[in-house]
Amino acid sequence: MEMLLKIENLDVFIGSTQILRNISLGVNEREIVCLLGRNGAGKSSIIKSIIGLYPSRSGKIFFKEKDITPLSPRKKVLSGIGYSPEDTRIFTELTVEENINLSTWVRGKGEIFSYEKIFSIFPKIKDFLDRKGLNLSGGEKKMVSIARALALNPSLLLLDEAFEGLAPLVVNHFMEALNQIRKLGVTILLGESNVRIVSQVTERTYIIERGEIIFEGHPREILENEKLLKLVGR
Amino acid sequence: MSKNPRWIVYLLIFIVLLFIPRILSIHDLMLFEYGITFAIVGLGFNLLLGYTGLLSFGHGAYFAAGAYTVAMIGKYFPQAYSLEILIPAALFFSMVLSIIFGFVCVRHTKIFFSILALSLSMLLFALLFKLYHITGGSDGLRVPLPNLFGMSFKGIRRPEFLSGTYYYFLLGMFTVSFLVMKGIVGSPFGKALQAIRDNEVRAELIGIRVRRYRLYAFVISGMFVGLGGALWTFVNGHVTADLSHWVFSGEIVYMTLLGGFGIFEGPIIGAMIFTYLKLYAMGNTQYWMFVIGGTLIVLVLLLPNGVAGAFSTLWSKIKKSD
Repeated sequence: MEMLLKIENLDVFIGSTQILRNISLGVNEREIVCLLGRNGAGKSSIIKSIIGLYPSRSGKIFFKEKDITPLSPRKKVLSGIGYSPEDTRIFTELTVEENINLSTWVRGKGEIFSYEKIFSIFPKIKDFLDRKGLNLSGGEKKMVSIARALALNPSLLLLDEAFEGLAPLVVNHFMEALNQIRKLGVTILLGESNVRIVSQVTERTYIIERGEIIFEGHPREILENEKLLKLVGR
Repeated sequence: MSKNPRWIVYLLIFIVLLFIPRILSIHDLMLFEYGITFAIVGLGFNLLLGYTGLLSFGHGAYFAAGAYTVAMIGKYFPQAYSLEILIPAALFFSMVLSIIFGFVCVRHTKIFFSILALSLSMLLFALLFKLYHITGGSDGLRVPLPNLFGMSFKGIRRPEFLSGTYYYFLLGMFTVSFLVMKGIVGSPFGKALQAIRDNEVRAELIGIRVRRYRLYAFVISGMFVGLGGALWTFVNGHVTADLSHWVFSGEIVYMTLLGGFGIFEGPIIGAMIFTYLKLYAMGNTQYWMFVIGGTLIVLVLLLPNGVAGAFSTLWSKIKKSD
C-alpha cells in the first residue's frame, strides 16, 4: 500500500498558544485511520491543519507525495481532499440536491462521484433530496455533509466527529457507510472520541492528548490497556 | 416553468402591466415608472445583499454611473444620443466602475465592506460635485429625450414620451432584467453565492472561489443598478451629484429592506411602495423624513422579513392550515 497522506513534525499555533506539537503521522491508500482523543485533545485541530484552516508554523504535510502545506483550503480540496466538519454546516437555505450539486458544479465535468454511488452508500438521501438543509435532522445533515464531500471526488476523506450525537442504530449504519466508501477507493481519516466505535471501523489509530500523538497502533491494544482506556475517557 | 404557479402569476402581472398607461393618470404613470426603474435597482442590489450577504451603502455610485453616462453622452456626444447606444454604454461604465470599486470592497466583509463601499461612492460624489465644468456640479445636467433606432422624439412633451414608447421600452427592460436575475439566482453561480452568504469558509471548502464570486456578484449588481440609473434619467429629466451620495444609497437599502431581501420579488415590491410612500409623505408633510424613518423602525421591529416576507409567511400559514 502506498502512503497517501504524510505529516512530518507539524507544529500549529493559535496566537501564542501551541495547539499541536510535533505531529507526525501517515495514512495509506484505502485505509481507515482514526485520530482518537477526548474533546479538546487536538483531533479537530489536526484535521483542520490538513485542510488548511489552521496554518502550520513548522512541519510539512504531503499528499500524494506532494508538499501541500502552503496551499489554500480550496486548492487542497480540489487536489482531492474531502472534508466533512464536526458541525456538518451544510448550506441551510439550499436543498439537499443543491448542496451536493454545488461540489460537482465547482469541480466541473469529468470524473465525479455519481449520484448512484452516493445513493448506494446513503440510500435515505433519495427521500429528502428536495428538502432544504434547514429542515434536516442531525443524522441527515451528517449524511449530506459526507455526500457533499464525496461529490468532489476525493481520494482522501477527512471526517471530524462523524458519529457524534447519532442514535446507536444510525451509528451502525454510518459504520457500514464508511466501509462502503473505502471499498469505492476513498481513504478515510476519522476524528473520533468513542473508542468502541473506533475499534469497529479502523485497524490503525492514533491517540491524541494535549496536542501530541501519544500512541499509534491497533484499537484492540487500547481496549486491552486500562491506562490508555482511561486516557481516552471510555 | 409552466408547471410552477408562480410563473402564471408573473404572466398575469405582466399582462396587467401592459395596460397600465391606459389605467393610470400621467402623474401616477410617471411615479410608476420611477418605481420600475427602482425595481431594477432593487433586483441588482439584492443579488449582493440577499444572495451574497454583503450590505453596500454605496450603490448610489453605480446608479450615478448609469445616469451620468446618459446625461454626459447627451451633452458631449449628442449624435450618439439614442437608447440603443445609451443603455449598453451605461451598462459598460457602471460595470467598469463596479469592477474598480468591487475589487477593493470584496476583500472585506460585514461593516468593513459597507464602509468601504460608502467611502468609494462618496469619492465619486466629490468628483461629480467638484468637476463643475464637466458634470454640472451641484446644478447637475439636464437629460433630453433620447432617440430610439432612428426615431426622434423632438417636439414631443416628456409626459407624452413617458406614457407611450418609453413605458413599453422600460417594461421590456424590466422584464429582461427580471428574467436574467431569476436565471442568475437559480444558476449554479447563484447557488454558490448563497453558499458563500451562509458560510464562506465552508464554501471555500467545497472549492468555491469566494472572493472572485463576490466580485462577480458585485459587478453584476452594479450593472443592474447602473441600468436602473440610466432608465431613471429619462423619467426624471435631470441628474445631480446627489445620486452618488450615501443618503441616496441608503434609500436603495431602505427599499430593499422594505420589500424583504430574503425573497426574490421583495425588492421590486419595496421599490414600488417606497416610490409612492416617499412622494406622498413629501407631498403631505414637511416632516416626511419622520414617516420614512418611522416606517423603517416599524419594519425592523414588526416585519423583519419585509412586506413580501410577511406575505410569504402568511401564505405558508394559510397553506398549512388547509
